[in-house]
Amino acid sequence: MRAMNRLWLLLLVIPLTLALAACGGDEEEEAATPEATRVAVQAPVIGGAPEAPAQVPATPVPAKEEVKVSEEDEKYGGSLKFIPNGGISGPDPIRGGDLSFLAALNIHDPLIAWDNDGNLQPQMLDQWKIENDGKLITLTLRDGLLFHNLEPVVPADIIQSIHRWRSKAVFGTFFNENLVSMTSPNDNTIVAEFTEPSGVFIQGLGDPSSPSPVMVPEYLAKTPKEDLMPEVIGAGIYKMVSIDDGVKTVWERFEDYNPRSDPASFRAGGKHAYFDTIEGLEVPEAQTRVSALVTGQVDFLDIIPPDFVGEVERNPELTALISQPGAQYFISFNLWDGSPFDMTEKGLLMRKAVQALTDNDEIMASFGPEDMWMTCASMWACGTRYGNENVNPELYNQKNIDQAKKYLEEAGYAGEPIILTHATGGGEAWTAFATVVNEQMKRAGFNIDFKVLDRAAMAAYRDATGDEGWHVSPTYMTSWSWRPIASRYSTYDLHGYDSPRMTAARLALTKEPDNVKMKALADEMQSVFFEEVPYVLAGHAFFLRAMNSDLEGYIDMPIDGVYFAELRWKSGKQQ
Amino acid sequence: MLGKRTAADHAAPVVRARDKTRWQRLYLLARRHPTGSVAVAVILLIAVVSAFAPMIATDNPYAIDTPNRLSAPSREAYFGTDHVGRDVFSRTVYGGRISLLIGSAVALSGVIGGAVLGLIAGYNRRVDVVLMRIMDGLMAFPGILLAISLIAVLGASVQNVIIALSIFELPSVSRVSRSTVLSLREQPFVEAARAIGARPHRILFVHIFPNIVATLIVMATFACAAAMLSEAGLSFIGAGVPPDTPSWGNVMAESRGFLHKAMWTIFYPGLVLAIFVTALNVAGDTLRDILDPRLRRQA
Amino acid sequence: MKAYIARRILAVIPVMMTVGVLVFVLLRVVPGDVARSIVGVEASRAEVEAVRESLGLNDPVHVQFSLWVGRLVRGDLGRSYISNERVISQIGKRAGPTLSITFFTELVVVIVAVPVGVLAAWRVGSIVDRGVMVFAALGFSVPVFWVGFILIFLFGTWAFGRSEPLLPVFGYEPLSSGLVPYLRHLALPVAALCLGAMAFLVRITRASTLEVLNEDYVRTARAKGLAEDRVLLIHVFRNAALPIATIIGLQFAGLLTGVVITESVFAIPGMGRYVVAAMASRDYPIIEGTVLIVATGYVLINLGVDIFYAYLDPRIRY
Repeated sequence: MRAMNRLWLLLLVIPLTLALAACGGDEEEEAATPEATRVAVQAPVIGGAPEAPAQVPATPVPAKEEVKVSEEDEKYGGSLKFIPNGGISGPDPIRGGDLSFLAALNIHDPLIAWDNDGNLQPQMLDQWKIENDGKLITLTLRDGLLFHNLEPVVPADIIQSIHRWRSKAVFGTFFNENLVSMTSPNDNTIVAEFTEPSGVFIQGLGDPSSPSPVMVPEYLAKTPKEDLMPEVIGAGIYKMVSIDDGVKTVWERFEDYNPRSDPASFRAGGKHAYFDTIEGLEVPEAQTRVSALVTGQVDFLDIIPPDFVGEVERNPELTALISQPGAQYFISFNLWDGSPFDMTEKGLLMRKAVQALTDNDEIMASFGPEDMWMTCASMWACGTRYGNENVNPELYNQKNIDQAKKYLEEAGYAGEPIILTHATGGGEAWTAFATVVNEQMKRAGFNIDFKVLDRAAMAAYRDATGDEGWHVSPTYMTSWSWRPIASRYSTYDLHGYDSPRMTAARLALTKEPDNVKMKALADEMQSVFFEEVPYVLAGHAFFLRAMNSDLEGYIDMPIDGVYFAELRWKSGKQQ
Repeated sequence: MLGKRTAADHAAPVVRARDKTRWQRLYLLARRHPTGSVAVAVILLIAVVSAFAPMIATDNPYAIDTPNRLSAPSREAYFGTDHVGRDVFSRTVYGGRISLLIGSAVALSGVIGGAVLGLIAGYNRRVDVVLMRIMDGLMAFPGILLAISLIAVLGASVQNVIIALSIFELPSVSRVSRSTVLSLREQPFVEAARAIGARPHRILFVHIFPNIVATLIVMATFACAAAMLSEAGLSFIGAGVPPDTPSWGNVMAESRGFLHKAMWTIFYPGLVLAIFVTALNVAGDTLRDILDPRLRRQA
Repeated sequence: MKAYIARRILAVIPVMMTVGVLVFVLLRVVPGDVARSIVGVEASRAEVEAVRESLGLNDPVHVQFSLWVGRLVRGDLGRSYISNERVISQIGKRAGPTLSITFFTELVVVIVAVPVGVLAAWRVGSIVDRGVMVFAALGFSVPVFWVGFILIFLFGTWAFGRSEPLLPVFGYEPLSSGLVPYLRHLALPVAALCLGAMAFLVRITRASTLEVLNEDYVRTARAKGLAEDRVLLIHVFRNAALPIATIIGLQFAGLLTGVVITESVFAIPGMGRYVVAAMASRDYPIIEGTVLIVATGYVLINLGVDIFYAYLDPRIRY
């Protein structure tokens, strides 16, 4: 009978909550947002701020002196429970498992890292030297580096790790053919010889995007790239104690980590692990995640839907962390031969029709409150090094249905079904994006077959070359300045984008030493992009993270991973 | 039925049922089962609203209006708007069509399919062995996986949801109809039919089938209710109807991340679903009371 | 009796074969494969193909099937393609949460539903009966995730004080970390799950009790002046218990396969969520292993119920 009472109670409570929610709606707008609970965390521009020197300097430029974070001993300790954005599964960056960004940031230490000013700094390295026009690159390791198994880091580990990474990373394609050899003349130096100028090698080692260049012991780095590394051993600030797929992972502070003496600056500099332990828990539902933070079951949430921003801000015990530029959403096409959007003249007209009909304001409004997204008329993420909204602004956000219809007529489109695929299980924002694109394309007369699949099935369809299973797919990528050239999604051959003009400009960009000319090449790539329409830009949705207000020292990373270095409990809390 | 009401029934003037018009009989039946009558009225009302959805809905259920997303219930949008600015009232009204379609199609196909299998199994020992083992296997197989597989093969659609849910229903319906057949087979009237040389399929369909119709109708009501709930569950898992298609379950599943901010998006479709399924369950109970001869005996 | 039991046990074999063939074929028909999940979304097709080859996924289906059956016969469920963990040990870790939820749900359901159902049948037609029936209809009318989120919302977002959360809104603590945390973590999922199950069992109990109440021997017992509570307890309930027990067994077995949604809502690391996640990455050995284990559990419970039934009611053993 108790259960019955509970039911009646519930039935009573629901209308009450509704009534209250309805009343609460009016007050909401008047109540001032508590200032303290919101932090718009603008990470330094990865890939360099627009004014930063673009090309890698021959030797590192010393970082500016920063106010050093007080290293009071009482700030060490305590534990942190967090919920990662993806699930919990094997973090091999080569595979791109759910945890791979998190592991790359916290379990591993980078050889080279970006600092607050957008410069590359040596991290595991003591020094690098680019000689002979960029054909000879020397890396010198810092002293006292240890892996989590307490073995010292030696050049053989680094060389093997770089080989494993370059075999998979898109960055590798820029220098793999030019690489003559990588050798170590002594126990802390690695010498790489190239036939062509290859400063991009250093860029790549400093880029934490997927797959991240992680440094592991030689025997692990020998794992074939088809297989998952059997252990997770890095040289970073936290070490992995256990991982239980789909449930949780436990990390501990790596007590033998030897931090640099220079101050912490973004991903570079001396890094500190303040927590004794970190526990990552898998919670699939957004509402459950937020409730878990509110009740104090966890202390930190990686990316949650933007609509929760008000909920988090209103709560004085929580801090909302808004990270720009977030994810870049776009409409991708099947460009293989035979698809209605293929690389032929007719396919181009079809793609231009989609470009013309797109109403970006309407699309982006579906992502949540207005301060959680932005439109951006640039292929390179707005606010990053090459972000430039002045290349072909008239081709973005056209909202021109009539023009779209004209293109369709020109292309001879007669209402053949267009398959728009979408995968379930990617969250409300993605589904909303697909829903809006679906409606917008219908307005211009596209006969859309809205095909909703599960993720694995969609991946299988997208693997197909030719007109198999899909034509259009609304999707997203994390935005970096370098990302568009480093991602196979955009300019690589994944969907059959085969463009001599784009390939030429891209290769030239990776080799160009001059700052101004690099910018011009980037703009050139953009104009090719707007003319050939390999995909249609939507806009940026910012990342919303949330944490307990008793935490401080958070360093934002504009990727789907949290960086736990320097994050700590305010003194005396949660010890 | 044992208490006061029996007395009241006896006190009523004794009029033979066949002396009355059809409407009078319906009225008497309704008076005897007030809860059931209310339930049937509710079902009819919701069915009519769904049938005339284009006239009743205030907006196109697919039309997006993102600047006005998650707006509270108002005179323009009775149930508010959802996360892409679609009118929740219209989606709920149109959603009735999809949900009722799924519910009734699953009830029909599941029950008819199950009944045919059950009849055959109940009458033919050899088929029985094979069929029942397969049904047991189906029953032991996690249904959600079956649904996810269908979506992966064919894509999300109303039709696939109906197929997946009908397969869920098959084993239990076939079991029940089989056991009914087994018990009926030994009844004197069936033996008599057999004795005068009636062929098996005639016995099956002329003598046995009419006797399980009542049970099947009741099962269909419950199957319909269960299917509508399962449809919501499938939408939650991502194996339901496509996201733009309004069904009650889908509207709820799509809005589950907005409970904190726009409760109306999940509350109203949920309320309508709850009312409808409750009515179905009550109607099913009433039907059983009316049709089940063993219960009729008490009155 | 022995022959009956032997027959029932033998019948398990074709059932499990059906399940095995079904899951194997289904996975081979479904597009998308584990190779893509292993190499990641940005890998090239050549890499996917290499992984397919190394896992033997390019072998003819009948070869794969016979290899799989061969391993099964040796009692080997294989290893996850992705984590390389033994399937059996992974399932072992996830069985605890699922069994706990299932057990406590069924426990609460039986404790509440059986007395309520008997009461409703005893006072059939009364206000109590109608109230119970309306409850039974209502309880089985809302999707479980709806109830789950409302509970999470009430106990979480609408916190009854953050410093002292009333109940944890997600997760699972094993019994080894203490009885109180174990039960506290189970409270909300069980509450969400038991509504529907309770409504169903109330119905069944009421119906079977009603049926017995109309039997002649009950009338006789009443006529000879036996106290009503004795009539109910000795004559009615003991006879009505049989179908009720069957349904409880079936329901328990059904819950085993039906807790996926509850596990997702409350982030409980159980078997249901595990198999759905494995489905998303097409990790065949895990899917096949979990389905076989769950189906075995289902079949064994049913077998137990059947035998129990036959033991109590000799007419069954024809």
